[in-house]
Amino acid sequence: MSALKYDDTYQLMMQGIHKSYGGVSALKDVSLNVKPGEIHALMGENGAGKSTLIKVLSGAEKADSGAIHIRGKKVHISGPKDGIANGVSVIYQEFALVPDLSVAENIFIDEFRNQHALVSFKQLNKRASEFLDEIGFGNINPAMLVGELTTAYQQVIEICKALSRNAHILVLDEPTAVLTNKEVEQLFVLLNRLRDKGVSIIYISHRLEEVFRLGDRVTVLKDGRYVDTKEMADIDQQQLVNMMIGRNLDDYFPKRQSNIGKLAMKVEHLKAGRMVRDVSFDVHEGEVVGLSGLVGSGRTEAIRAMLGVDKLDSGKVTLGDKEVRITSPKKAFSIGVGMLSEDRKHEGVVLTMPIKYNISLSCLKRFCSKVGGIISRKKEDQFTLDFAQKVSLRAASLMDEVNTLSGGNQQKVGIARLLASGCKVMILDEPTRGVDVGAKIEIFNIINEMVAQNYAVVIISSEMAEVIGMCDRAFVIREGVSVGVLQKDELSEQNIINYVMGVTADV
Amino acid sequence: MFNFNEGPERLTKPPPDRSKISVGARKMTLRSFLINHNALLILILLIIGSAIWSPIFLSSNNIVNILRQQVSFLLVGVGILIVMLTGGIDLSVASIVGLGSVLLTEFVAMNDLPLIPAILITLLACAALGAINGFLVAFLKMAPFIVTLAMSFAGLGLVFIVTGGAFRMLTGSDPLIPGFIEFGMANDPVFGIPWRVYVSAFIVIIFWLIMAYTSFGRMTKAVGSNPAAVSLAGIDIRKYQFLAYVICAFLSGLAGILVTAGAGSSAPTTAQGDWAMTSIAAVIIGGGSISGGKGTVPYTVVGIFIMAVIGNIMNLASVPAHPQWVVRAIVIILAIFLRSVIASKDSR
Repeated sequence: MSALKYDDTYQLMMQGIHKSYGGVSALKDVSLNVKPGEIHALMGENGAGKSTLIKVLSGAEKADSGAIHIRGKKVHISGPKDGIANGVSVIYQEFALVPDLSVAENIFIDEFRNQHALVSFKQLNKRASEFLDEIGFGNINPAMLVGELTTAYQQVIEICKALSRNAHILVLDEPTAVLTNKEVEQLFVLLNRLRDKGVSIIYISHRLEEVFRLGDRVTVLKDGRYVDTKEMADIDQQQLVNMMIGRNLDDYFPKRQSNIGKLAMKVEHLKAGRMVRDVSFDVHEGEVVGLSGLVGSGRTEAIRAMLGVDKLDSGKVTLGDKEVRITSPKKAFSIGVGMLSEDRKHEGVVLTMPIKYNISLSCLKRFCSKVGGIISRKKEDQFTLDFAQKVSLRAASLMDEVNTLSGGNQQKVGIARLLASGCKVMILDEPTRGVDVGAKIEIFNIINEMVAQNYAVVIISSEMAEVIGMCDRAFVIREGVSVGVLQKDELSEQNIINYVMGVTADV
Repeated sequence: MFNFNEGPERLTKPPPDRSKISVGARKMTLRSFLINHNALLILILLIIGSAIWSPIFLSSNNIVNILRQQVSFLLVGVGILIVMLTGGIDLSVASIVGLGSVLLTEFVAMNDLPLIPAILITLLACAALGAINGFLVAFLKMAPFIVTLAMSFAGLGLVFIVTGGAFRMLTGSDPLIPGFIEFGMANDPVFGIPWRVYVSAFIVIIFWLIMAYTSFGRMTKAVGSNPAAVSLAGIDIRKYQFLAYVICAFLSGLAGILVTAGAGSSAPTTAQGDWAMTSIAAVIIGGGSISGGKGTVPYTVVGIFIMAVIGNIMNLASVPAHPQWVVRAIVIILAIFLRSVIASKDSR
């Protein structure tokens, strides 16, 4: 542990932080120095130690050794209260808001704890208004219920709550994961404003573009160790990725030999509710087709309606050369069309079940006796182990519950289940969302292997780089309508954006 | 062409060494043992404590007594467990136990039906009520709490409509009837344990095997763990939800028939017993969860016997009935509290 003198250019200094869980070390001599009025990106693959470091800072975990200085004073943070008392606020992806209380009540919720007499709601609303005004969101009515606000505004309220506690160190954990592109812009405006007021913002994100747009400096962690801190202006994406993974961006999207076969599935003129107005796409054997578009453009809804999860108003689905009617996911699987949801935790995997049961979920019949449905454990063990290895799953035991795995490995369990189901057409909705770079590459490799085996793969992705890097063709969907298809050689950010924004006349 | 499944060794390079995965469960730690088996520990401690406290407790008479009293609770408990595994709840079991009990005597004593058809029709009628529960919950997506609450009223009403509120002896012209009563009441056919205990144990074991080793058991649990994910994995979750209520009502009806067999008579007040709440409590003490996906048949049995031993030891101690309820409440809270304390330490 290095004994550093406090340097008053920093609002927060974390030095020589060590933390281990039962002999496994999660943080080894990690440092993080953040200046006042800067947006400091904290990067690293999942498991690099970002969240542990943040937990140490907020008081959710206690460091084994190391020193934390805030505004030049050595502080001891041993519980969440100490974190708040020292001006540290962490905004998690799941907000800690009460949906049935008003905006003002949520912002000042701490005060209710000590309030023994009556509350003046008029005054409360006025104070909330002032707060909101100050950060440029005076348009939010403080008397409104938080549950009625959009996710983005809820995030604003969460930040406001932090500020009402005099937070001068604000930590945001993947704040844009839950936002639409427009809302992301609003958030960035707010963060920039807070920076100008002297708040230190620690920003955790997997999205490189955001980090480069927003960040002043970046600290990279890898395997629980400190790698480096850089001025954002001094490095490019390539260098940052190299710092995180020690790998080249060229390897980011592994190359594959496309060998496109005959038409596997053709979907025409899907209509479902207000979100899906006219969606068409098709996919061949051995081909990866992307569905590109903004979040909320109706891609997920189109797939859900197509598979009979939600109501389909009209449309035609042809599989091979036969027209099919898919009335339920069960029907879809039985004719060889499988889907993995974008919402891994709620719709993708069963978190509280063992890995093994998750992988065999869609094809359990295969190991069951005809009469009585008795499961053959031996067959199931062998089969699920094969598929776990195919997706290079990292787990100690197949009987571990899925929620003990990292996000990337959870996703691999979902993909393994889909592979095991034997479906020929695979629809993957945001397959790499919330997954670290290493696991992303592994997932891309799995997809490449799938198409090499003649599977037809459809990827819904909001990351343009992913669509460009992985897909043979991409359909662009805007406001529930398929507005165009881009061939491999036309796939560029510019072309996609043109379609997405509707500026294109001829590409 | 899609030989992904046929040739498992074909895909990619061989997995790296570090991804060595075992297929068995992890080694048990003391903490995981305490979390998974705390109900068993509580039961053993209760039995030891009771045995020390009262010499009568371990006498064969008393043990047989406990077993005989739990015959019907075991069946209802397993039924409730299956419903709760799917994430549902069944508050109508008491009414259906009552209905099973009175319908049998009604058919045999009043309509002079032969015994076997009477039993079958009774079971069918009970299962039909379960099917209504299941249909409303699984297919019309109504809240299980409300559906089965309504059914419990309807069932109670039916019991009194059928009987006119009368207590009835199990008599009739079928020559099998004396044998049936003998079957229910006889105290010492084998090892001093009545037949219906064996019947009940046999059915419980069958359901234990079904829930642990068949796809029905696996899927029922999966449906309750995460219905959205399981549905999107191509499984018709409605089927499992529906069947759970049918099975629960069927087992409740059977429990009612055993009540009649054990008493040689039926009373409409059986439908007002505390069947639902006691069974739900037993499932939860045994590690089950209101939100579904948790619990096993053996631990439901353990839960039921925890409730039973507490009741028994208080009877031996001549604690009056009403304070007994308070003690039961304390034990339920304590058991859940203990589990949450151990579990929350685990998540740290």
